[in-house]
Amino acid sequence: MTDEFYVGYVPRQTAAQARFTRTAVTVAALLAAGLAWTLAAWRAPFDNSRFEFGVYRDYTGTLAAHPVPSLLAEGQRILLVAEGKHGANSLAARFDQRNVGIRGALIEHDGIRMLEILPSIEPLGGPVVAPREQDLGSVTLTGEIADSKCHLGVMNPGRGKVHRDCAVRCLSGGVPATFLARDETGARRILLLTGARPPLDHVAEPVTITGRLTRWDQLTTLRAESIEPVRE
Amino acid sequence: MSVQYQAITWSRQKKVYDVLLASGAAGFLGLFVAAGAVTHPEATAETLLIRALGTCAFVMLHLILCIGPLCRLDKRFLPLLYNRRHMGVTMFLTAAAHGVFSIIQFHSSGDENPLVSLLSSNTRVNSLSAFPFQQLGLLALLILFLMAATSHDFWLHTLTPPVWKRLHMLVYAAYGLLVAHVAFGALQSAASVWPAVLTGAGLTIVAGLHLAAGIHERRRDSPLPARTHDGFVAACEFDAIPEGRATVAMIGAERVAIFKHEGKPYAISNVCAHQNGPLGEGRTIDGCVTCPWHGYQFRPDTGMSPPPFQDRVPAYRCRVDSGKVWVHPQPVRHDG
Ligand code: FES
Repeated sequence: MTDEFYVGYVPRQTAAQARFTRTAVTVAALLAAGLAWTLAAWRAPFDNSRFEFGVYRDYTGTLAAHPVPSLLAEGQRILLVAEGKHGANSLAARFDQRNVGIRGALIEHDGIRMLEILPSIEPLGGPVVAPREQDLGSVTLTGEIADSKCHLGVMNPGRGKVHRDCAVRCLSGGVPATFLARDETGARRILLLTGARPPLDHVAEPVTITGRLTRWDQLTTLRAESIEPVRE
Repeated sequence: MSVQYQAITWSRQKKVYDVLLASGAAGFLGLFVAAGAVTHPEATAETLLIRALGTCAFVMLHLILCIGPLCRLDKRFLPLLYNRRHMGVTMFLTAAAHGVFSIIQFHSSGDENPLVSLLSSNTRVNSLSAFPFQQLGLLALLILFLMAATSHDFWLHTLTPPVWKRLHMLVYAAYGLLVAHVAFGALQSAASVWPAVLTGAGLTIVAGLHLAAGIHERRRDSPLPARTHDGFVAACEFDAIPEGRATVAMIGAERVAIFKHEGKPYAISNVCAHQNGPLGEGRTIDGCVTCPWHGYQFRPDTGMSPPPFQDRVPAYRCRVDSGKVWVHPQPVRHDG
């Protein structure tokens, strides 16, 4: 037994003790640094999405309140949501099938665009543009329900287990739902869920949806007839 | 009353400890956010910050839990233990920041009070894949808060050491809850198995070190059979105790530290009145047994702290007979 004895309240450790402490602290620091870097790098998945937070752009076009609030501007259908975890349903209902000017921050994922709009919508004149819709038939797909606002870019990742509670809050607040599914070729597809609000208990977990696919300008919507959780 | 808390002032070592602690935590957070931004440029800043804070607190908790058994295995780790409470409070603040940012991110600006949302948006307790992990984190945070809030010696004296110690043993409950919080949250949506492997390794190291320290201490206890004479129990060989040091022996159900001070044996409880530190691993300084953890001192004959302190540990009668130290299992009463 060495007769060195550490007492914390004396100003200095003995030389041998100080050497040991320095080594221990250095090892701990290196280990922590390695962990910080590795865990940050491993913690995927992230989507290729974006949200222009605080950047507001002006859009004009024909507003449609149904099946979900959207604006048809220069041939492209842009989804509309309100600020926070809220949908734009009540705001959009006042301007259904009218031409309007809107300000909002852009959210974008895989070519699907959404605007987080400011509450001041300006009514405009001019001819109303009708949507191009095409029935694509009945499908049964397995995937995950998320809220469109986060999923399309406000949060990244805006889906999956960790994001689940947030998706519940957004859907409960009237944000339209998305369905992230794989089609028959195995490719990932983001579908816009229409109809009744999906069951909040099965958000962010595997579900099988049977319903009708519709082409709605450049978006694809799925009107669910049944939503079944995939058994664990 | 405050005189009791002035013994341990902000010594140089404490300052060095705090500077290292603060720069360590800040460095971890900075490195994590930087690594996240470089490897995942599409990730949002809030997400990186929430992850960095949570990971930092979890890593720090592992460190905190490992320091205790490491010190029991090798006394040279004691400088890390000396100011561990500051690490505990720093860990709590980091975890609390993780919790607050997560609540803002996931539950605020909605159609429900954020705290109500936190408790009510996931109630799938009967599902493994959907199990509500955020509530587990909240529960752990409440425990850590309780510990951080009562970490000062004022609470130690107010609550009495046994109650305080029991309260602070809840750190293991908090650790369990946090392992589950991580497993049901981040690990379930991780893209690789390595974070899960690392979490498992952390758990194994924490459990393994505690086990090793327990075995180590049991082995070191004096192996003499409990022979009695006049009510005294044979504890250890007197010559085996170095001057100024102790041997620890089980006397009845108690671990007793038998010190040799100026050539004479003294027996006091091995359990320090401050935070249950191992007095038997201490030594006598200025005629007092000095605890290796935070330096509390006790007189070897009475177990009392030197004035003005009023802490005490049980002291036992003992004597040397045919080379052995004999200890009476009944603590001596010293009144006043
Ligand atoms: S446990 Fe803190 S001084 Fe003994």
